[in-house]
Amino acid sequence: MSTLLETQRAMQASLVAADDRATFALLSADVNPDRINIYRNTFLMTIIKALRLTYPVVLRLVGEEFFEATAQLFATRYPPTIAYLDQYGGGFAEFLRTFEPATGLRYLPDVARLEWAINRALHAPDEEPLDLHELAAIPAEDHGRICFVAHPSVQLLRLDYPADSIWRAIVDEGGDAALASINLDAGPVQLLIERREAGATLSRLEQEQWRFAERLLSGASINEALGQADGIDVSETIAEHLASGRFISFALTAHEPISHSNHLRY
Amino acid sequence: MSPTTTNKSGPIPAKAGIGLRFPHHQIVLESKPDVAWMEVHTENYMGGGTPLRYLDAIRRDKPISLHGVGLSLGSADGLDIRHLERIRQVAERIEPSMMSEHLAWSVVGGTYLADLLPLPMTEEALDTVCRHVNQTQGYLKQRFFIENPSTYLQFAHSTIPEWEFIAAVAARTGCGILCDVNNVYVSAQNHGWDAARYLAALPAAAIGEIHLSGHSVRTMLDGRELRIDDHSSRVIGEVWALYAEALKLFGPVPTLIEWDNDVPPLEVLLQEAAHAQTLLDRATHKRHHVDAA
Repeated sequence: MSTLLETQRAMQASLVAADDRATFALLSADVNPDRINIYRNTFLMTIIKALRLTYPVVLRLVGEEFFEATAQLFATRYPPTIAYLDQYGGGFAEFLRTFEPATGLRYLPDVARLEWAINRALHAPDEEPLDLHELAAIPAEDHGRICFVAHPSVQLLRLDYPADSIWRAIVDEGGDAALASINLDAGPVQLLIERREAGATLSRLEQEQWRFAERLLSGASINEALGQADGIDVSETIAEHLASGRFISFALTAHEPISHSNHLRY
Repeated sequence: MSPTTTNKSGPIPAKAGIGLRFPHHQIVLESKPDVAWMEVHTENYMGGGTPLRYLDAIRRDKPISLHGVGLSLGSADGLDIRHLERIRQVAERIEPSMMSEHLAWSVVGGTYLADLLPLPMTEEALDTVCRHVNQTQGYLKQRFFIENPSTYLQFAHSTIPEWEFIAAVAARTGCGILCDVNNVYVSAQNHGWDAARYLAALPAAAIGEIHLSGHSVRTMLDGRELRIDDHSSRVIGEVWALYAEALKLFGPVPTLIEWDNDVPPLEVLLQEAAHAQTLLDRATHKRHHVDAA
């Protein structure tokens, strides 16, 4: 008699690899084997639907038929590992990058990376923004030692193609004219993606602003981040991050402050 | 996050409710439909953001049941403790009046197969499910309700009738039973079981909820019809009739209208719920009659 695990491995082979040999051997004699298709179809349709929800702009760019076929291939090669499908499909951009039929759209992987960042922003846990009164209690000479903890919805992305413009053209229903007006060779874009009341918002940052934000959001102290702050108004920049609720808490690093300048304006 | 005192607390009433789906978030919040309670899929409210904000708000007016689809109680590999924790977090925030899952499995070898898959009805599977129901109830410190599945396959090595299997899970773990009357009908038709006998074999005292939904019929390669539980249409007459039988056996039980694909206007769900309520009222009336006599 087959064990529970053997039965489940057999069905896994049926659903993921379309290999029904082991499952067929387990079925009651009166069960027509094509009934396994019901489960295989539900598995694939559910996953493809999850990918459609996460990558609506990729879908619009490549069309229904191409997307379904691509998503099905991705689903069988990289099936979900957890039962929380809002977190499924992070590898889709990398898959598209090396997927021969899609290589004609060279910007497609960047659009997918952007949509994944938007998805992460939209589904990030809820956290209260940092209470500015807590910051006010820190004396100015200790400001350089502050390490912020970023809000989990905030995502930073650097892309070779202007995927944000492409995304906006599709989302705003700009049509082919809006897409055609985008210069794909204008150089890399630095983006900050976050969740607001109305949904995900995308902001383009200058290179220096983006580097500074990357340091701060990854937990570097203000002093450490200053090494990436050439030519930017640090006080103003931090004030904007605070006002936008991009930090939820902070800690002080132990080492001595190397700068006494007051970087906080709030 | 939301202050607990503002939530509608207490048990789910023995009345008709509807499954709340994303397309109806806004209209439910605005129109406050006259329906006694609602149920949501737990997995749709993990993480944060807009869906939870809607549910926070709707929760203030209606008792909510959390109905999970991904815990995979029948997994030979054991429960995914991270998924259990995600469920716990949703429950902590929503304070559900009731929580349920399925007699099914969906995870093996670290792969989530995104469907409620059939279990072989064996002693080993029964032990596995009971162990996981105990683990779940212990972790969430709440009684769980286990739903009978709709199935399309039967395994040759199954030895326990499904109705006996689910009754045994309830007896051994103290969990309740969510009796999906449409699933009983669908599986009975697909496998040649006697639906009335299935219902009669369930322990009436353990039934805490009933599900009703639509299903479709497909002709398979062998020329036989297969009933597919696709939750994309109205409850059919035969299932309403079986529901009336179920109410005779179980007494009035909270009853949910489920609709997951091609979700219709809210009005249609409310019509279906109103019909369920009519049958519930009759059952309640009869019960009072019997009690008085």
